[in-house]
Amino acid sequence: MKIKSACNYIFKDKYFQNRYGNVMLIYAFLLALIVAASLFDENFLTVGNFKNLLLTSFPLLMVAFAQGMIIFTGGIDLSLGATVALSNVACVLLMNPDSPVGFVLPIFGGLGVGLCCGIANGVIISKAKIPPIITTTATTAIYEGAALLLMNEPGGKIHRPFAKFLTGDVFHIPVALFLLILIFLFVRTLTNYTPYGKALRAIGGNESAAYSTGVKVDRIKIKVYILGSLLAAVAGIFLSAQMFSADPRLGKQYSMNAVTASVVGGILLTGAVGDLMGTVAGVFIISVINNMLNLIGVSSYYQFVFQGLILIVVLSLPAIKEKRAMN
Amino acid sequence: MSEEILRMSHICKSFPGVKALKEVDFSCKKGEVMVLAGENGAGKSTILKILSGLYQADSGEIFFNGKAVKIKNPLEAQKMGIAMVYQELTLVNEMTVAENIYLSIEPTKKFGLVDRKQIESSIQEVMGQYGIELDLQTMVKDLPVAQQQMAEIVKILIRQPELIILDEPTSALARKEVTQLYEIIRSMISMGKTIIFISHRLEEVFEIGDRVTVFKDGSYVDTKKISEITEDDLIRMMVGRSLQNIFPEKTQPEQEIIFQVKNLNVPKHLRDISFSVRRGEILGIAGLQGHGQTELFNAIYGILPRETGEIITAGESLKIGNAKQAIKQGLALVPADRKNEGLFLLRSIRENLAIISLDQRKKLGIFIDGKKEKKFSLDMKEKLAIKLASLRNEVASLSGGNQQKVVLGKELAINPKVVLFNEPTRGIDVEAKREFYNIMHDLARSGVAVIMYSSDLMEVIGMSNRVAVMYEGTISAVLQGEEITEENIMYCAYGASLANKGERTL
Repeated sequence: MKIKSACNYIFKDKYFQNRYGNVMLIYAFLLALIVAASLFDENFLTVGNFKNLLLTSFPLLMVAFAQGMIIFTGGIDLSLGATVALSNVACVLLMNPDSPVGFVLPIFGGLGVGLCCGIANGVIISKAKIPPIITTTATTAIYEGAALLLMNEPGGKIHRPFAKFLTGDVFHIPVALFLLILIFLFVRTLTNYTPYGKALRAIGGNESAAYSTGVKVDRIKIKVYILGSLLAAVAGIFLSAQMFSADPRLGKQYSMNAVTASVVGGILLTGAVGDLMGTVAGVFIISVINNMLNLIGVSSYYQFVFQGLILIVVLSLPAIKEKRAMN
Repeated sequence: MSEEILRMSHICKSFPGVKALKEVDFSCKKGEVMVLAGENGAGKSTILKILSGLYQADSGEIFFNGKAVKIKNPLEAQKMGIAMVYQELTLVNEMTVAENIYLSIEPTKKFGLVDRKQIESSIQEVMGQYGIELDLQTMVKDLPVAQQQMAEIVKILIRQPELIILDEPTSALARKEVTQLYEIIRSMISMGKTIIFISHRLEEVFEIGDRVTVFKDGSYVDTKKISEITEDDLIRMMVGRSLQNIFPEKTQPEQEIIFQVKNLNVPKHLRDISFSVRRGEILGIAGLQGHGQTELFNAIYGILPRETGEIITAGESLKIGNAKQAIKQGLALVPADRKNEGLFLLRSIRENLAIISLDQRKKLGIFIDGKKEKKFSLDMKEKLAIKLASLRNEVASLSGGNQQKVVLGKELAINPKVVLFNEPTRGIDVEAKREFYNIMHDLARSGVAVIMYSSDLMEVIGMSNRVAVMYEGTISAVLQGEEITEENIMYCAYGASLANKGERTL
């Protein structure tokens, strides 16, 4: 009985429905997908495969959190992928595999690159008032070019214990999972429960209204692009450990995949609406589908086709819903 | 009552192509309701947006509580104790009422988290104080406009400003809510606050104001005590013309029926609507807001799909399934929301005027004939007396009245047989209204069927030969001649029939 009344409370509360109705649906979909995958392939439902899923999803999760926060403001950052690559390259170049603390400078170097990329994006977008999609297309070219200038082909030496730690376990639990939970709690709390988060959404919902209400629009926007690029840098640093090398060209997919994950996770591209909780599901939905395609042994190029299709389907859902409501 | 809280002196402000304010002075005393009146484009909103920090003056000084101040942005104004309810709502649709009300001033608890409980309790307290009721957890987009306006007002109250600026706060409110707003204003005054109020409704000025300052064309005209002037005095201060001759004299329509709608049905919106318009006639549509007036126009124009219904001009039944077909067959619609539905705000006046009739001025089958377009738009400018600096300027740079003329001009380009006017004079000034009425009158006399819906009853009464009153998606009565009175219209708008009224009064 208690459970029933609790359920009633949760599902009938308007606040809850407004906030979490969509997120629940997305998780239901993810669950269905996992069930389907495990029926399809017995290897899917193993600890090893799940750990593999987590490690391959980690960088995209970081970038998707970043993209999600930026989309809340009604913006978009297409340079996140290039930032991943640039910080990945910077991080590896600064590695000193021989010194016991040879991984400290690379971490700060990688984050520093992210910081600079974010400041540049944020300042151009909010002060020069150039639309985010144009600004970040331009900075993508710059960051990509810089990465290639620093390192023209994949390579580099990695600090072995550092890589082992990041991709390994502590108490049988992957370090990546700890990191993920920590970062997730931080960004989700920030975007859902703080004045900063409310301001982000207000800007995305109605920028001029936010401004005339006293929101410091420029400052908040600059900060979100910085935070976004820092998350991209975390992805870049993690990738250096995971790949055991650097690749100046690896970033390309991340920007768009992060947009797909955000949209699949229930974030509206028009801004203000969504929850990073959904983004987690969004990322895993993409990863599980890719994972399934891998297990089946289909060419990895199909993954691109699939992601495009998913994006179109999800983006057309609101229109379909509206049409239904009209009839 | 006598202490001066605000003085703005020699304020100048220019926008590209327009001098909005020329050396304007404005002041108000602590604890009064100061009404700022004047036509649209007189500079009322501009000076108050300077005060609220949204705009910066080119020159001039502002003294608040006796101290010279510079207000660089809305945040600074708020901190000083100045808050404004703008004409355009400043709510975020995708956030809840509570989130909107406390936006940018959220109280926090541990770790910088927003304190939802405190927010709710303090909003409830303020709402209780003023007798306002709102569901705080509703998304703003799910609220009716009137309640959004109330949320906007709570948002201001919670910031506890000394000086509150209300820019046409009643334009979206129904009678009952207007009365409630007056009560809120009075209790704010009794708490020692000062209010600046912009209004286009005369009766409102006299009901709520203590003093009135009048602007005209960006200049200061005069300040008077409301108790010492009449409505006619005020109109004269604003335009130099009195109220009576704002509507053109009505002319007798001919017998010939030129436009007819038969058995129009739209599920959920309209049922069994039939009416006709005679040559030379203006048919007014009246009724309370939301009783199907806009839907009626959209259904005729093909924007809203019809279930049944015949639309007939000159004895011929028309096939209209979308707006393009409507235009082809000589129907024109002047929509209520000119900024979103009527104009391409950031494109030039010339392009806007020409957009509907592009096909008539093609060169080599695909190109736009620039010369013809220029000549056409110049003609239209002359015909409608559109006041503008250059046809190449953005439509957004025009005042409301002139924008509305552009909307009409682009529709007239196709030589329509029928023109549907939805709220033709909303948010435009008295002078532009008068001009617009004359244009509508001339249109009707030239043989165009004119159908007009307006929420301004005086306008419907002043312009229409007959008035169709709508109630719950159907026409509840058609009034003509002597029957067209405010009282009769309201009676039918509330769903009562005139016959009953007779019985009741007898």
